[in-house]
Amino acid sequence: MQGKFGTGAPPWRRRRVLALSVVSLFLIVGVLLGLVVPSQDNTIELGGASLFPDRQSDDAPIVVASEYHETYTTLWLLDARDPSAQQQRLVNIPHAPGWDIESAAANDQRAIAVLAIPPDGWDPQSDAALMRVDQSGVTQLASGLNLRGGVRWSDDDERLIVHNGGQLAVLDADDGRQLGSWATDRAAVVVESIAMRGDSLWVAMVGADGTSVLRLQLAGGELVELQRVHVSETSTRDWSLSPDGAALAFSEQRGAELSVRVVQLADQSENHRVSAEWSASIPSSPIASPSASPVWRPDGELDYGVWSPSGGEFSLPLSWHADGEWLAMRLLQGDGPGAVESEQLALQGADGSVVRAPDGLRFVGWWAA
Amino acid sequence: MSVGGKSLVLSALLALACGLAIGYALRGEQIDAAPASCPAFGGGPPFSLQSYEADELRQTFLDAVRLASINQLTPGDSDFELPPLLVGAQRAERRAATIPAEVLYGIAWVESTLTQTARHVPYNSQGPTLISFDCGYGVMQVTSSIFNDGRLPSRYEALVASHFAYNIAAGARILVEKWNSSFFPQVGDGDPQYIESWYYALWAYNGWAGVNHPQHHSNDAFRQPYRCGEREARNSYPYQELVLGCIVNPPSRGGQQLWQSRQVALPDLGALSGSGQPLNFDVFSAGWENVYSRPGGDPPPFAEMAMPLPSGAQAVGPVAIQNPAGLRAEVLGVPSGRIDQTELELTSSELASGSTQLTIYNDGSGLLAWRIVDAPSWLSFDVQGGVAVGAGYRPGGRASPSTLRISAAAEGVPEGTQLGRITIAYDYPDGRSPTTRVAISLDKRGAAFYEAGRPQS
Repeated sequence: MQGKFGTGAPPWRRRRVLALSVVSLFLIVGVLLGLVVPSQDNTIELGGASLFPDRQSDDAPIVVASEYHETYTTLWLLDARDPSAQQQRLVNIPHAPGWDIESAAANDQRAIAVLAIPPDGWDPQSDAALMRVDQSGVTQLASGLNLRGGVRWSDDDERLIVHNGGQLAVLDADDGRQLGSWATDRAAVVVESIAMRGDSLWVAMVGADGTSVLRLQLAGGELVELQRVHVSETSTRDWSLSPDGAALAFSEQRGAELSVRVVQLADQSENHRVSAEWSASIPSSPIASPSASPVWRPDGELDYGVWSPSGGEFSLPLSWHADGEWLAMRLLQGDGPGAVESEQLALQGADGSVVRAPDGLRFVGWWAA
Repeated sequence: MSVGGKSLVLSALLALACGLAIGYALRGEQIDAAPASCPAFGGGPPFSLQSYEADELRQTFLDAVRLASINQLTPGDSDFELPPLLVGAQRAERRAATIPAEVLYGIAWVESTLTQTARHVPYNSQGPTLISFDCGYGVMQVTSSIFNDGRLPSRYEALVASHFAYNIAAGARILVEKWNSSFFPQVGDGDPQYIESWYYALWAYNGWAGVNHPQHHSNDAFRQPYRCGEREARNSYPYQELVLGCIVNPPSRGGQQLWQSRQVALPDLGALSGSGQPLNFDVFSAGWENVYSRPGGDPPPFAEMAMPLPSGAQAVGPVAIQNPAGLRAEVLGVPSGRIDQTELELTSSELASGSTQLTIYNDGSGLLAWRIVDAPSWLSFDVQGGVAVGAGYRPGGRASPSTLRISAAAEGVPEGTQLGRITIAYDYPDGRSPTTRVAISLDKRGAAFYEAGRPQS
């Protein structure tokens, strides 16, 4: 008897074997594709004008906003002039139930840094993963970070500042390598990054004696403290460094009251340089009370939110677009801190008109069209 | 194209589609992975235990919470019963412990949405215990008094991790310990009947950290009250506001609220957070400086944070249970453990390490908690303890045994015959922990055999 596949095998048998082989091959290919194909939740849809094929205006910037769901958060792209009608989903970020992401848009508006607790994580102080969302997709840069410490871009978008354990860490924004870290030797203080410009990292330190501002220098893989100045006798928040680096605005907390104050860090005649003669304490200038959420315009003017103790609607500025014409803000209804009944993201254009975004959205940043 | 050719193309496309479906399915659901180690609690890997997830409507767990709130869940069990509450100004008076049940409901929901097992475990089923990345176990995410140092779990550790009732009891006990500790400040006259009085104890339950201070910069100054909804994130809230928010706005399952809403008055930050006032952030920071500068803790470091009971607070009496003993019997049951196998065969060689399975039955009711007490180092196990379900406990009334997979970890064992035994303990609700032993011998080059021993007590 001839061998099974020998030249003596009948043609029908050879065809059957060939058919089975082809079908098996397709089955194997299908399994492999099924294992690696991205899930629907991780699709990235990026692009330019194709994002909004029916977009009516080309003079309004695009806003990145986040929408929280119990187990994932959606990043949306919105047309600032018509955020309700002109919107596109950028990506869904899965996360642990109950914990929203923390995110920040890069200054060049072409990437978003996202901190999220993975779906199987739990601890906001040590479980967060850092991801970068950009044209190439979603890239994880680091893990084991503090979610509530937030994330901040350096001014040149080359670095990201996060909290790692009890330290501030500066990471490479492309690959997540740690470039330097710093921890205070003082007990019982809270440390938060304010801004990173060049190799200088400004940090706020809040403790029993109030608030100090530190300037750290990144050099040789280390963050070294160069200067420190006391700016407030009490706790503060919402720190914002002016575009020229000469002034620092913040909300000072006195009881339940907030008031914006500004500290001059540099001699007015010396832009971009901190005065060599930082005194032990710099007096701050009050702006208004009550007030909060100071935000610098590109031209160096300061905006902030005010409200009436008798209640009503008020706004807190969040961020100015680089063109200096569009402002993202929180619109709130209530009496002030601790007495807010509702809020909504809104956008104000150059003509002063205010457009409200759909409910439940949180401002992340601006996006380059 | 011939008929045969068309058939081939169709078959190939069908195979491709099937393959895609199979491949996608093989990626599997998200499996909750326990952390590799517990740096803050023992340094070793977490215990591996099996637990039981009850009904989706959480009624079994809520019954356990109610019993725990009046110290009727594990009375007489020195590891789990509630110690007396120290009440009154300066904590001068001892009183039988009762906790407003709503406080425990809120904690359980915030910690785990009232679940004991990993998220992929179906309701009314056994499965791995829910373990967070900071090594918190089960419903109440218990970390205290658990030392994950690579050894076998103690009775306390095994029960906390495997049996929801003991986990809830442990969480309630930890809360009482926070209430009693002079390290933490008091609210008002220290009257536990007011939910508002538990503000600082709740804060301490999650950790006496700055992020839980209502004025910490990471807590949005303009936050609205937490409504415990599925569309609200926790990021901008101190822990105690999450719990209190869930008391005011109970979650729902099956179209019904899981517990009755209670109005709770939050501290008036306007009145209490001025300079030198109890909820001023600087005062909290100064308290921590006291901790480092006054290790003896005298006077208590956070005494300046003592604050009055909020206006509008209303006393909530202990939960009324007509027959606590009867309810406890329903929750805990009367389990009875049994292992049938007298001989198990395990083969092991240089090339492969075989495994076998030991089945633990519950011939009684409720959950039978069991754990490995002792075992040779040349054996490995998939779990260190678990629960076997008795008849009548699950919908449909079927019992469900627990299984222990045993493998020979014979690397490094010299050639020849090794003798040893596994000791299994049953932890009964009446406090007894009888043991049963399984003798084992391993022929490094051949098969191992086992003999089941008799209960030792």
